[in-house]
Amino acid sequence: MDINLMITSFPKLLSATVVTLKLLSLSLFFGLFIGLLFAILRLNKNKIINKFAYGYSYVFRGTPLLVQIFIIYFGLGQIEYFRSTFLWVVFKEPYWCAIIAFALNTGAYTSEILRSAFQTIKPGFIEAGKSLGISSKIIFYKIQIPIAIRQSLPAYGNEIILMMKGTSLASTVTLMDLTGVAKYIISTTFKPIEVFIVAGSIYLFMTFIIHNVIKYLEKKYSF
Amino acid sequence: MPQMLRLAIPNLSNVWQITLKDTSLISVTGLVEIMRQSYIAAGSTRDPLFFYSFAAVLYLLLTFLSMKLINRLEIKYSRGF
Repeated sequence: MDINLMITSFPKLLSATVVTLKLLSLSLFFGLFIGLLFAILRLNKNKIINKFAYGYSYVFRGTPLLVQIFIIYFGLGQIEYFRSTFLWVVFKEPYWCAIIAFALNTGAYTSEILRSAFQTIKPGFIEAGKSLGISSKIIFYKIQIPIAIRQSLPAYGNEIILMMKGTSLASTVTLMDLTGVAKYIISTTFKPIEVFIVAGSIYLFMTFIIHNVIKYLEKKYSF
Repeated sequence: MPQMLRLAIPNLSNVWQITLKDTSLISVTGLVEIMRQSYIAAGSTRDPLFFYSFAAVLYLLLTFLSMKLINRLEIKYSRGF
């Protein structure tokens, strides 16, 4: 064990954690909107819209995150036409490719979490709103969404932690996140155990914080 | 055992599906499986879109098949309930 290396690599890994956290927060932010959109589409009565939303979540939950990143980063650049459009500005950056892949992936999982939350809302709440003469739009925004958020908090906390660990895959597309920097230090020092122990404890610490924040929120919003 | 299995199968199937997708991470360490193979193929033919999509379809097929199998198991073990 080389304790000195652990100490010197710690600040480097800590600065790389910022990249990991940026990836995580941005992909969760976009993923939440995608998830909410597809959860609403899943509850739609229209068969075609319903099937489309189901297909989306099936494909993104049925394939590994690594494959999705590779298709978006390596695959899409292959299409000549695609490279001439303005979208190429976004897709040629590994950073945005990773965020798009993560957002689409977590969006699929979030849509399932939110859909199940919407479906478990007791009809009494909605009926109570209706009998008070509240329009269905306001019932949706002021009654259904808050209850669904409360219901889905435990599962969503799980998803956040899974996603945080998923961001380590960003290192496969040349991004210098926590894992990427750890790999880089290892390639120069040939001491994987020490560096990965430090990187692993940083991940563990982040999990610990996220877990406790979710626990606190659960307590705060419980009824 | 049979009673426990009935309740455990849905969660076990979840773990199975997650592990199935995590096997793709093995490619990072160099073992030749679906992902590694498509990585090599994509590198030598310069056609990553096709090969990675093919890998994605393979994984989808695997999850689809295992889901069908698990559904049958679930039905088998929940007989009489």
